Amino acid sequence: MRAGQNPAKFTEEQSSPAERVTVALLTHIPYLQGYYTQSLDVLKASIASIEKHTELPYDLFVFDNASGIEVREYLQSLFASNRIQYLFFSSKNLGKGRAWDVIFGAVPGEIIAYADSDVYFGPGWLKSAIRMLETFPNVGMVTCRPMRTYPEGHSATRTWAEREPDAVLEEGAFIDWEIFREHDINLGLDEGEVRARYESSSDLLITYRGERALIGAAHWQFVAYRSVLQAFLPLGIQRPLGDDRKLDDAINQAGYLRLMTLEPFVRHLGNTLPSDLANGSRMGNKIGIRSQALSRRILDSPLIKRLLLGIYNRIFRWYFYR
Amino acid sequence: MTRIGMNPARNRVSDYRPARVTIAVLIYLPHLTGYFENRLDVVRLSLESLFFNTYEPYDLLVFDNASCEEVKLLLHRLHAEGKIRYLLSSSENIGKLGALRLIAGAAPGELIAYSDDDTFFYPGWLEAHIDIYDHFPGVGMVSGSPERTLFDHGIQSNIDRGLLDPDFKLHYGQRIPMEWEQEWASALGKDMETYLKMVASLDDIQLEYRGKSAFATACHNQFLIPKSVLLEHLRGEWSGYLMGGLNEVDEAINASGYLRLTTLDRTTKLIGNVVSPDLASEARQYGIRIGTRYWKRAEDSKLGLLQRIARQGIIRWLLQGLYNRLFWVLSGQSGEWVQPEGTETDLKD
Repeated sequence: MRAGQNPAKFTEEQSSPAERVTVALLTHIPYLQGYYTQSLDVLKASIASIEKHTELPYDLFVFDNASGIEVREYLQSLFASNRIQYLFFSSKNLGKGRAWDVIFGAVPGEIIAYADSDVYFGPGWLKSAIRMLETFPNVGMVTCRPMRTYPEGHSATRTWAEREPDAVLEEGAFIDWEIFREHDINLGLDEGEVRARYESSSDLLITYRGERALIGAAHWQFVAYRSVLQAFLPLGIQRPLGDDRKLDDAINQAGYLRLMTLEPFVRHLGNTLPSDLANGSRMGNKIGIRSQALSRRILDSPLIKRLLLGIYNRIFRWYFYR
Repeated sequence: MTRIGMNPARNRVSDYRPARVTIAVLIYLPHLTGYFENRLDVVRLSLESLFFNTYEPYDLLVFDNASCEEVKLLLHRLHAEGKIRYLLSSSENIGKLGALRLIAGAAPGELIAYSDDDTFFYPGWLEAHIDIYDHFPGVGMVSGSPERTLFDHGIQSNIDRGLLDPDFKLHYGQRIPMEWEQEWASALGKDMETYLKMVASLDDIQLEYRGKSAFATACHNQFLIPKSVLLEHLRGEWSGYLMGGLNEVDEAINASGYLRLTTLDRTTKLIGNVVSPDLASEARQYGIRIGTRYWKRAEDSKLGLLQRIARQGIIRWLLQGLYNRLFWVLSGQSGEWVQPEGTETDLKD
């Protein structure tokens, strides 16, 4: 039976159900031992850096792929304080590909800024990526860091740059050694391997309508139009890790551009927190908290809330309790 | 070096495969007072009946549209127990259509069995829905609660199919029992006498195809739908309204030529915002027990002085405005409070 009418029926328009950009993070930290010992600290540093260094409005969507209780409780605490706008808990680890299926299908924003949960974001990362999305035509994904990625994954971008009259394509060493080294060392490679790879490979730089970009992109952090990513769903990736290049290849094969910024706006942290960020992340946690409006805090104070709920309930009963 | 060792998940294969059906339940209880005072019991009964009476494999996705703490605790407990596979929470109520968009995008199944949070599920309900879906060609929606007023929109594709395709037949009559109509009216809070008089003058319509029949309508409060069809018909701008806009989706699905059907047997039932003693008793027959608190009907007692004052014109107008305003404030919504044109603010009594 129904007593009264749902008040939501009679009222209320919302101003902005979703921001243009949804920042989407994928977390999977099943426990805090072994490989994952510092992963929660890394996640905290990542979220703090998003809060501190994202200059444009955004909603934060976190997909938790069956993490342990410590991580879930941490995410719930962020959600409760409105630092996460959409929180998705999966009871089983779906793997990265199926999690992508869900994330790319569900996020409300026109633009998805995706990242694994071990990425540190620096000032200007999102603005730079969106400028590239809006300057270059037919962009599939933009990664906010220069790297050297496998050529088969960006052949369409190279072909486009070679044929496009307004584009200038140059080949050479455009990434500084230290920036190159920082990323590859973080992947667990040794110094000698990294040096050898740097000296035996090169970068492809496109200049197009005043904007410069390197060719290539990475699936651990990228910014893309939701509509482009949704065209590839479901991705059909079975393995939890290791099949991620299917997304890169699909985007390339469909003729979309895969681009990177020249500046290292983001940094792959891996599973340990570097000493230079350890203090910063703690600061970021404090600085990044979105302050609630005074009126909201007053309304949420237990006494006021109880009083208002009492009035609300009394009015309802006067009309329906008969 | 900031990566030490290798991620244990690398190069392992997930054995997870999404079920064909993702059951998606949308929950919105901003607080447990007023209209929502007994709604937590309703949600619990709805979910318990789902757990008890669903035999087909499924993944359960619950979308929490910014509910209160008590609801969050319940949902997190069910998620921890593995009864909810996917729990998607929004920090703000994004409206029913907004939530449906996220659900449609996130649900991994080929079929989505959507429901509001006030549906009672009878044994075998999902099988009955799938049976209709698999039997009829070109099905867009299948619902489980036949009701005669639902034939007022979104049924032209059913009628056209019945008239134009020789494999289909239409049957007009009054097969839906009045008992079901009474329970529907009660769950919606309708004036019983007026409602029953109205439906007594209406026919219901069945669509028959190769030996199997279904009612030729569907209900957007609870339905099975192919994910692709739902995604296709939820395009466009966010309306921002917390409720409404669903008839338009019904019409769009109908206009695309999809069939909108309901099982002949009542396989689901609308609960309303209170678990009635009759329904609690019925639930117990299926082994479902929940603590229920029932409305004390004020007919049994005299109206108090304050209540009589509250019914006076200007006082009533002021209190109704305050009530609606408090709903908005207490729900923590960030948007403007706007009275949509053509809607009534009256608290119907």
